[in-house]
Amino acid sequence: MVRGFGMAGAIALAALVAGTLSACEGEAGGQGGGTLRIAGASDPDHIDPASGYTFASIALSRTFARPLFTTRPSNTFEETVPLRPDVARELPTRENGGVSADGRTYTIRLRDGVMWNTSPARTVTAADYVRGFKRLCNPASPSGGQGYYRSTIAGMASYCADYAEVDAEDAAAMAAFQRDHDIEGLTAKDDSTLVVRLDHPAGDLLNLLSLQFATAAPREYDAYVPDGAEFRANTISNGPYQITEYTPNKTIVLGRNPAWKASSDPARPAYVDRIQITLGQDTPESVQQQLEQGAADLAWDAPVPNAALARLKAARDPRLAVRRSPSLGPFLVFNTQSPGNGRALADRRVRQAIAHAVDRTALVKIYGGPDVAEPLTQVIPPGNVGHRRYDPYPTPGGAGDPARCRTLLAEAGHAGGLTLRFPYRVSGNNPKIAQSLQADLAACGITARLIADGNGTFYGRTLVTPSDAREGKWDVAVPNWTPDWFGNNGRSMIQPLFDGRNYGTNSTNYGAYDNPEVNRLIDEAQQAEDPARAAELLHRTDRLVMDDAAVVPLLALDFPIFRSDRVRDPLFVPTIQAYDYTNLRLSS
Amino acid sequence: MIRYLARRLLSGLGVLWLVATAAFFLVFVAAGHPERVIGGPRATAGTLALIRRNLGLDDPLIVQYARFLGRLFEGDLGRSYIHQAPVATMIGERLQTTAILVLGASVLWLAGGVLTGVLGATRARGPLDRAVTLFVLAGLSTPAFVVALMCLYLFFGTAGDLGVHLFEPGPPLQENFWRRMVLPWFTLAFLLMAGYSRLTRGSMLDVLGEDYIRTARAKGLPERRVVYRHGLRAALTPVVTQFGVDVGALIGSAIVTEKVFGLQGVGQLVVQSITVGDAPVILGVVLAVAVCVVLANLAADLACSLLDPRVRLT
Amino acid sequence: MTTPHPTPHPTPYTAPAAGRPIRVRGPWSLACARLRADRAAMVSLGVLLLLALFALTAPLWAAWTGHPYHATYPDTGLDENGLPVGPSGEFWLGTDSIGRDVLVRAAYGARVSLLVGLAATALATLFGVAAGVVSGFLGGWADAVLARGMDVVSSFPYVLVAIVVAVTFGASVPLTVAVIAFFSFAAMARVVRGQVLSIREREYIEAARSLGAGDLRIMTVEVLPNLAGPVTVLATLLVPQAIVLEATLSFLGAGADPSTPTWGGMLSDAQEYYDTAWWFLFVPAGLLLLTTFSFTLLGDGVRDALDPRAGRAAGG
Repeated sequence: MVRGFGMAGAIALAALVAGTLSACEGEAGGQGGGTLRIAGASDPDHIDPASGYTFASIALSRTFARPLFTTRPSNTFEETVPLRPDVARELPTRENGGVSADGRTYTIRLRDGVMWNTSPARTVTAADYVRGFKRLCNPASPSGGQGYYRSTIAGMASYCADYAEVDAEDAAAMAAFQRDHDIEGLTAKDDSTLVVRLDHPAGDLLNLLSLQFATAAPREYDAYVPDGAEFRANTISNGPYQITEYTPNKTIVLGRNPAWKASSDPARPAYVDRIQITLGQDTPESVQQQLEQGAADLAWDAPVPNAALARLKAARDPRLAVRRSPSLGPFLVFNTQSPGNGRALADRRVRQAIAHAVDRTALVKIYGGPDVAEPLTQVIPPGNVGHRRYDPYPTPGGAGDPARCRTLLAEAGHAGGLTLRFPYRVSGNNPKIAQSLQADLAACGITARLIADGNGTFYGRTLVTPSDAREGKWDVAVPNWTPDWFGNNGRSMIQPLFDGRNYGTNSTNYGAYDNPEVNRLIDEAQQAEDPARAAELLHRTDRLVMDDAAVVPLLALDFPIFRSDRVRDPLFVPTIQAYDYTNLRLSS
Repeated sequence: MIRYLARRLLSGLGVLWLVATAAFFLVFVAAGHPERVIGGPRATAGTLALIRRNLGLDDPLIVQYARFLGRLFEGDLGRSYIHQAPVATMIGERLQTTAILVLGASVLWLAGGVLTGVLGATRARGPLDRAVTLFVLAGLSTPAFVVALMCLYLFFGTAGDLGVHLFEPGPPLQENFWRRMVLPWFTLAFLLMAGYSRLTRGSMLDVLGEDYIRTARAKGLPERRVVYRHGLRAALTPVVTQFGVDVGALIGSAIVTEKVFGLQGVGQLVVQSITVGDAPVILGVVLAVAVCVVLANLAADLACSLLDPRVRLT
Repeated sequence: MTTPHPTPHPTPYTAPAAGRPIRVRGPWSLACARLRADRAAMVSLGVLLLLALFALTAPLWAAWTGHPYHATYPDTGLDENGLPVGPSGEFWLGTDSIGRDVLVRAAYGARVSLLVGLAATALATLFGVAAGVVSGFLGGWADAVLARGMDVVSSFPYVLVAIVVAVTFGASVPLTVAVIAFFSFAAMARVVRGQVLSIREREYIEAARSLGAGDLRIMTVEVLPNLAGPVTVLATLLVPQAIVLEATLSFLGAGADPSTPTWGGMLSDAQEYYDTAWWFLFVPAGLLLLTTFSFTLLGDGVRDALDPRAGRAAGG
């Protein structure tokens, strides 16, 4: 009670401060206007939408770079899955002539009135989209997402291979290459018609065209090294906002784009006048305090801290929401190539034994309880195509069964237990997850030696260096995986994680799992145009992977998100785990 | 004097070169793989190889080292792998916060340390002296982050809600400047104050035993004047020397203080850079700190010769 | 921070005493007597012995409570929202963020803190004395090289280096000991060098030399024993510094790996919960302060005992 009074006092004080602030701004109305203040830790990975690949940079690019298609932000997950036209006039289908009979040619018509904020303002054309695709393979800041397009659009792979040879520091050389070389499968038929030809049918092409990579690039971009300092200071917008100020790791300020017309943009009501992103606040606790006191409105890249989450949940704080973003949260992956323990991890029975040891109830609590995290017993989480519950290794109450683990381990010839090298990331909940699993394994007679690792080296070196894997530098690890889109996303989940043909340096099939039957099903699912068929094929793949115990899925996570008092009617974007900045209002 | 300065600066440059070399090899062994951070989680092997090549990471280490030194001679610290911005600019932007933190704290700890030290020396063995000693021992044995966490607990968390609410999280230097900085200053100052208090007290006791102080007293000068004009002036020499030495150690405490209080200073910049493997930024900060140490040591020696005519610059 | 300079006593001296049989006491037994009379130092020593006992009996605490230090108790040790539970019959000092027993982990943490403190100090002393004696006694280029080396070491922001090293080679206790020792040995070397410079001008060194003793013999037989006093004093003061540094590195995630229970690591976890789980913050913080404070007090006492004059001059 006393504490409640204290908080009220703090909030009253904060309200006073906030009051004087908004009085200064003067224009904060009930419907629109005002400055949305976002607080966070560090710069997005890239400002250039072609190479931005973190939640923060995608959230940012939604405000100033429009793709051809998009999904709707919503607080009901199912509503966020279907695609909608953004700069495209409508979704191409066989019926409207947008998709050819063989499913390999897409004709996309662009909306009128979409403008660049150049002076004078200029219409966004199909050629600008072609330029956008061409920039993906630039050698200076190559896009992490280019693989999706290289394996789909005709001629893109060879174009990209040639582009890699161009001098990465010479903007003019890169512009000249883009001018002189075409991608066979991409044609701007006229200013408002883009034709895309594919190597083979792809049921998920429109999903690929809704990613931030598939945005237009104005010809002005040819003058800069992609994502270089000059580029960052001179971004051009075709969305409702434009970057007006950028200081690395400190502030990003967005103002209204005068050339933007609401009538040409069904997806972005753009209520607020200004968006100010203040970076460099490195603890999630400090960001959370600011949000609660009203000194900031939304968090940029900081999660709601566990302690705050519990407190807010107990108080039923209306500003806290737990939104669905059904991804493959943490999962345990085995290095099947490890020579350690007499190549024990290459033995399916050993992996199955370990799958019985895991106590998922403990992990659920680490993330803040059952309304935030649910146990996951198959690879494909709910809400994704191909999801069906499947639990080949059930344990009582999901709390793990050390005795069964010991028995199975003994049957596999390892009664004496194992010693496993377990690199883990030092950020967020990862140390707690690692230590909890370490305790589970210990109960089964397995010694896990924890090795601290940074986020960058974990994904950049530890898990993706085949020679290290073969030397047994690691045995088990817990990565996370979030698909780039929901819906038909086998290509963004099952394929990168389990396709054995892709194994090599920097492969995301971390454990070198290879099952020819799985590889065959992946190909079949990718080319299936009928979603129901794709779902069936993906589910069958999931079962095979689980029967082999290639990984142990642990949790499907939902996302706790907090907003300040001022934010009204925010809508959630599950793919980037954030509220859409262009779809919320501020109250005065 | 000129010759002395030239010699000191030259030897300072030598130290800087050694620091730069050691740091270069340490950091490049450490932070060898920034391409995954730059390319994103799904980048293909080819893309990552390209990024490595662009950054010049595939060249032999010795070539990279030569390039690094060459740039350094032109005063260029290079560009951040991740943010593309020049390292010097990035450090410059963060320096303000760290400078305010360190300067504010150093005013507190120097003033506090010298004052308590003098009080302790002039009232040696009295109750005040004992209180000061206790405080000194506490300061010497407390880690910065414990002080910081306790401050947060007392003035910001549960207890802060009950009584004095002394901290305002958020970007510094913009709003609520005083409320934002008071606890960080105090945290940083508390630890260092102890050392200075002890140093001043010891040095003061030594000086007060010297002949010229006795002479001054014998001439009938007021005790206050003897202590502060004649005694303190000479007693400050070791304090100033220590101040020069502490500048380097300070970055450690600054990192912790910035972390706990969420200040956007150089310490936070370098910790972030280490976690993502942004080698040029790490190197830049290490060098910047080393430059500060060298200059601070020189400044301290010069200040000593001004304070105490018996100190010769050789 | 200060470097005490106790006067070495080359020969035992005879305490004049009126009316009683004259007892000849060496400087060490005198120092011991003085130390025994110092109440604060004796209390500190007692506290430290208790802490050492606490550390040694860590497995016993685990057995009594039935909670191994790594075991998690998600059902009883965390509430329904995943928050730590406070002190209770089952968990005497509450639980941590993943439902482990804070008491048991604190006991194991004491082992790490004491071990790192003592081991790092021992290493720093060994290398510091060696470097200081060599550079002070030989002078010339050896002195110049070592002096330059110490300049470089002290120009390095050591916390940064420690983080980089931990990220590169993986955080571990031996690495932490090595890093701390590396950055403390310069202080020791500097003091020893100063001492050696003054000792080597003394008459008995001249005497030894005139009797034909070589450098090595003079260094080991004449110089080293006379360093014992100042080295002991500085070493006792280095211990709490090393413990503080270890805790700081663990707090920053660059000390021992997190599955090894350490006080700094516990505090790093507790940072997030300072508002909701006070026991999680106060137990390791209290123990850490108790340890370092006791070591500092003891160090002060040792210095006073070995050199009463320096003690009066520098704050005790």
